[in-house]
Amino acid sequence: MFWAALFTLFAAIPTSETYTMPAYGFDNGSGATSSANYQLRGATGTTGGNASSANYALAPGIRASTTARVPAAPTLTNSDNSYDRLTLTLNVAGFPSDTKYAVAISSDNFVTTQYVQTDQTIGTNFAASNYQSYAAWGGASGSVVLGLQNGTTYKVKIAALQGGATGSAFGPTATAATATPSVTFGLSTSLTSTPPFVATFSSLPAGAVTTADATVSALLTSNAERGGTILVRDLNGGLSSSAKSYTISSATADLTPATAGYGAQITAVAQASGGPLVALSPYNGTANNVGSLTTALQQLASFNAPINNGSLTFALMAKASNIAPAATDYADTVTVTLALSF
Amino acid sequence: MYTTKTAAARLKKVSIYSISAIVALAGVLFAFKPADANAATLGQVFVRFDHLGTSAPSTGTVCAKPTTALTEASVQVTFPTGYTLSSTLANWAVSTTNLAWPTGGTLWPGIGTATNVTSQTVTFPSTDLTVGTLYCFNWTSTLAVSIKSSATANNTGTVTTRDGTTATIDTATFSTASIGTDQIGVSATVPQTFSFALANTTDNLGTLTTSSVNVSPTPATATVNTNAAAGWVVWAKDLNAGLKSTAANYTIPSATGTLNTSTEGHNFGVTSAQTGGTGVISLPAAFDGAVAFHGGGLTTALQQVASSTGTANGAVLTLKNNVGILSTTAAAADYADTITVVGAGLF
Repeated sequence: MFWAALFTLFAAIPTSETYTMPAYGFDNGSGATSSANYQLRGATGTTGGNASSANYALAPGIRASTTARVPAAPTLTNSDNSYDRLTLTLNVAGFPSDTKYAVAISSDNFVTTQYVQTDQTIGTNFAASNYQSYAAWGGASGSVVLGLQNGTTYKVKIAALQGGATGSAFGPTATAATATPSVTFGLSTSLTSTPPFVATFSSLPAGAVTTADATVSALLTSNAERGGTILVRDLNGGLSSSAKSYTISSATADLTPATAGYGAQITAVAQASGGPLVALSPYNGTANNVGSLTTALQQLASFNAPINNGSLTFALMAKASNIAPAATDYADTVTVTLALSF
Repeated sequence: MYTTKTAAARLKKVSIYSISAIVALAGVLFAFKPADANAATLGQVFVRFDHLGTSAPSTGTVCAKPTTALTEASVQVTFPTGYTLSSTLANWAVSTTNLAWPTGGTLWPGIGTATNVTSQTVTFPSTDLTVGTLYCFNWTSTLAVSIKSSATANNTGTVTTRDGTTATIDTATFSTASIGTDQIGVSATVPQTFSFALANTTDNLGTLTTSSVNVSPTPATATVNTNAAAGWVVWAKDLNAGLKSTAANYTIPSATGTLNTSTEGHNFGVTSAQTGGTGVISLPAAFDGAVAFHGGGLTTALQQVASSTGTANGAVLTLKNNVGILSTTAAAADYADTITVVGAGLF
């Protein structure tokens, strides 16, 4: 509807009852558009001559103007394997410092076009406010274009606006693709990297703090932009003996002075890049301080950004009291899970 | 000529103004062109499976942050391929209890038991959501979904909010993993334990007098700690069956009962206390020292002086020596005895 109306308007303009302008070529002033008696000369780019004399005056009409130079293709990258954002860096060599730039973006080779807004998201709004300075676009470091679809290839192109010049056309394109949300996660122990995983307290003599023979490690890599958490819970809220109907209860405590207890203590967190992974209280204690294991999920560690080869290791520690019944079937099941915010 | 030129100028002006008007109109029309029908991306999406182990039934949590100011009527969660979903709607009951939700998570308004399960997609009811708020709910039955049977990374799904016409408002993709096992089996052995400790093992009764029964000023103690489920027993014996003076070649004999100033004798009275444990301590009547100057007479053979029915944490026996003398008791400075106390757990 819109395009039909536009076509109708253009088609109707070049004729009148007396004169005909056969084409819209009024940009070069070369006199190419003419009839036998009359000639239409373009005003654009006129720099000399008098606009008036005693007998003649150039009535108001099209004003002289210039068009800003078309910017080169920007740089568009996804160096951190992101799924909802790409990094855009403008290529502004040779442009005056007061030049402003607008960014068009498309996922279908500009069959449909959106524009990067001032809040770095993309939208259909395209107005003067879309033009921002090089600094506002992040300068040489570039800026992040947000709110993109995952697993999608985007093209961007830049238009310039400088001084009193008319805004340029959009220039050549740059291309990059978003990734899909991803995660790899695994568990291992210091004894084995393959299930089943077992940690054993071969003996819990009364009054002594004992560490299980295996530490547990969680390994992860994810491009979750908002990070995530590693969580833990257990089956029994302690070490339970079915034979004796007795549980060495888990508790957040310093096991040294405590009569008895059982819990987890993070012994290491690390990552190759990103994150960082941060051990959370009460599991981040030292010496014989442990955090309790309960049947509800508890947060062991968290991170607030994509992480590469993150690892968390925790130990299980226990202390039996004098009256914990002797038994060989004390047991618990510890579950570790991961939650990510995309 | 003048007229003609003027006419030409007018034509030119009309044409230019008209083109300007077209461009302006086009701009206006462009500005009001309806937005693309493409759905917006949720500001944040969070789907936590409480189990990640292959084939494990799992409860979980869904959170999403709307970005589009439209009126939501439902939310769809599309689970990753290979995850087994229950088609029984009742198995998709939900709760809005904060179960380790991410920071900022708030209960999802209007959320309820799923209304539809089709293939991998579960539809839950919702009411209108506020842009920028992170809403969460939990699916509470392990019957709802089971993790896929193979261990794989990058298991993707989506969360989509929809309006009353089921049109998509916001959507986003999440990713999770399935692993061989998410569990660590923990085992432990608590061994049989029995500890027995004596303190204050020198009991100097001082100068014995006839005017009163002489009692240990710093009685010995025996402390028992044990996880022996059936309890424990403590026995005692002495070397001389009384207090013996070698120099005087005289023995103040062991004597069971309550001593007084008109009685010569030596007995062994026991009292007890316990910090914890399942056991109940009992004292043989002869050695029960609850009454002043009362106790049992020690012999050279072990006699049971205390016992308990169960475990003991800090069970303490206080072992008092009571001695009475008469005016006829031989004077000497070397009256002595050696008492041996032993204990054992009943496992």
